[in-house]
Amino acid sequence: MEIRSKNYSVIYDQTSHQITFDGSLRLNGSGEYALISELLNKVAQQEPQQIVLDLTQLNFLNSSGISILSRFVINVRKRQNIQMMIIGAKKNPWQSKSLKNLQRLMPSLQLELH
Amino acid sequence: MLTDSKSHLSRLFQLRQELSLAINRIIGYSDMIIAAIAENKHQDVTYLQELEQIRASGRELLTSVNIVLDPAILTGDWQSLQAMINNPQLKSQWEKTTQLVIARCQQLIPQVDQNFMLEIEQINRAANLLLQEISGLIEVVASEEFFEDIVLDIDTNPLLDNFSLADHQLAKASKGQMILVVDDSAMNREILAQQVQAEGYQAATAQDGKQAIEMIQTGAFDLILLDIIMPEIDGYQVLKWIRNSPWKHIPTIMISALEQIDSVVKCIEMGAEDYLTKPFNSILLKARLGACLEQKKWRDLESIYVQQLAQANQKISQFNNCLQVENTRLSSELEVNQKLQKMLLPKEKELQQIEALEIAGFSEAAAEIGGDYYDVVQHQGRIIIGIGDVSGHGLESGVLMLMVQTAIRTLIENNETDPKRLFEVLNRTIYKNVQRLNSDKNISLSLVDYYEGVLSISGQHEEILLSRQGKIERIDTVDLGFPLGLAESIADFVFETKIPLGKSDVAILYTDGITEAENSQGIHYGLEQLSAVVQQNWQQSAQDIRQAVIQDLRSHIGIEQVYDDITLVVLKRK
Repeated sequence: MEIRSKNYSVIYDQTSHQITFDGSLRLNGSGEYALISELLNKVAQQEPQQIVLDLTQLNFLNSSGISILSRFVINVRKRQNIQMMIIGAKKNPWQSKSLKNLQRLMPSLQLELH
Repeated sequence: MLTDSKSHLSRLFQLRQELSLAINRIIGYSDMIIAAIAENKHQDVTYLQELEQIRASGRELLTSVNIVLDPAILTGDWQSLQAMINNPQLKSQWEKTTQLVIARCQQLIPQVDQNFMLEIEQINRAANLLLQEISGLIEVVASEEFFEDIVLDIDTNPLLDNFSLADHQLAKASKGQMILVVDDSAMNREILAQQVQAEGYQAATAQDGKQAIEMIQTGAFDLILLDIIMPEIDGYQVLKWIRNSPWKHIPTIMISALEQIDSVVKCIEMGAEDYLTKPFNSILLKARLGACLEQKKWRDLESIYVQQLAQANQKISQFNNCLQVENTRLSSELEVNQKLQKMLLPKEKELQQIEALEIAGFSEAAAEIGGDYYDVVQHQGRIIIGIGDVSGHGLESGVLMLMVQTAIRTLIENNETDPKRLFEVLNRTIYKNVQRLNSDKNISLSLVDYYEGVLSISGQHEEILLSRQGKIERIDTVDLGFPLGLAESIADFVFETKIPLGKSDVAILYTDGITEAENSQGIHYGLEQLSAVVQQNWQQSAQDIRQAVIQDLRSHIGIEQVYDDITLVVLKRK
């Protein structure tokens, strides 16, 4: 499963259950984020043992995108049996605060900031 | 049988016109020759006097006919007309004058220039026809039936059918413009067509109104010369038809034997361009044809331009409508937001009444609305300063900011002092409303509570800058809270930190509109630059520090667009 556009890509690897975000996400509201939230929901529904969210190459995520990720994290947490790991990078200014907030939503979440 | 005076009158018009036809022909042709001679002054012409006599005789006859058969005199008085026409003196005078014309023609034929031979012959024929008409005139008036015959006779007179347009030698190279001559009299048609051709135009003729209308519909004509009085469909009717047709822009010059100003006025009122009276003065005709066609040329051009303009205008007005709708939407949205924000801002006067702290606030809405929030509330000796930012843009952000302001104020008024409880209730309120709005907005918010030299800070927002005697400290608020509206419960994430605020210490609160303001190279203003300006100005009053920061920020932004709301709050302990 993957979603690609000029400015960003979201790719899901089924064997490793890794979701890789790339580029810059500035979509307008939950309406434009529908495709991405659908992909995230499908991954959560499969209830794999572990989900890896790789955001190291996601330079920018707007507030609507942060909302989408927050809901995804809450969705995963509710299922209780999924391990979750988020990989970020300090070079992306938005991540230090926002990824920490995600971790707060799911205390078992592993956060790696490179 | 015609008995009523109206029909008599109508017939008299025709009678007068038929007599005038022959006379006009005499005047017209003599005029034409005289004009041609006048153009070639070097030629010594010996017969000019005879020609002028012919023309003078023609004019004399026309004047007399017009006086005797004046419609104004004739109206309803059939008896007086009969008496006048039966007057043998009148008849003999007309005959005598006409015979003089014929005699002059006989004199001219042997000596006249070959180029004018045709014209002299036409004058001769017209004069002979006129003589016949005059001799039959008494019977015409006496017997109405005979009158009818005469009319028919004139219309089918073989003499008049002999004319052929193609024969005429005066036709010059065509100017390409086509003129329609409409006259029921073959003689008038001929004179006019020849004169028109002499001016270098193409001419076509129609013998009645019906034919004229058919021909006009071919769209081939640039100008119409239209006789007023014609049997069946007369000139008025044709003119009326033209004005209501797609050919209404073809200029129409009325021609009439009636010099009455009434008929001319009527035609001009109906849309005729101009008029010509019989006999036709060739110079006048030339001038009027030229003027009308020139006018038409410009009018045609004008109508093309007008059409193009109309199309362009239509497009512009469509764009304009779209723009107006969009502008109205944008400006009203912007206005509502700006009003909301302005209404809720603490007033300068309020701030000046605070005893312990100098507080200077600044908030400016961007073209696209964010939803910055700042407030200063005094409650039971505490001074609570809130600063926040609703994510995203637009009306929704403004509405959420209003909710946040109201909710915080409500909680403070309700003596809520515990930050965990305050933020939990606040978040739940906002979260539920955000759910109801089906919105994905969230709000970052810090509350700074000053009480007796201590700042109690809670809630997650930007870093807070602190100046202690010019030494800058940064207070991270990430661990003090959680964005409002994202999660159902945030109580577990809310903490409070207490920081002493000494005399002359300065605390700076701001939104990311300041730190992320871009210059022309896209470089952010940044926290470091903000710190530097505060460091340089910490000794100033809160108002002056605010002014220094805003000034420096503006010089950084330059002419670039401001994308986000800008909010700054400067606190300084007195």
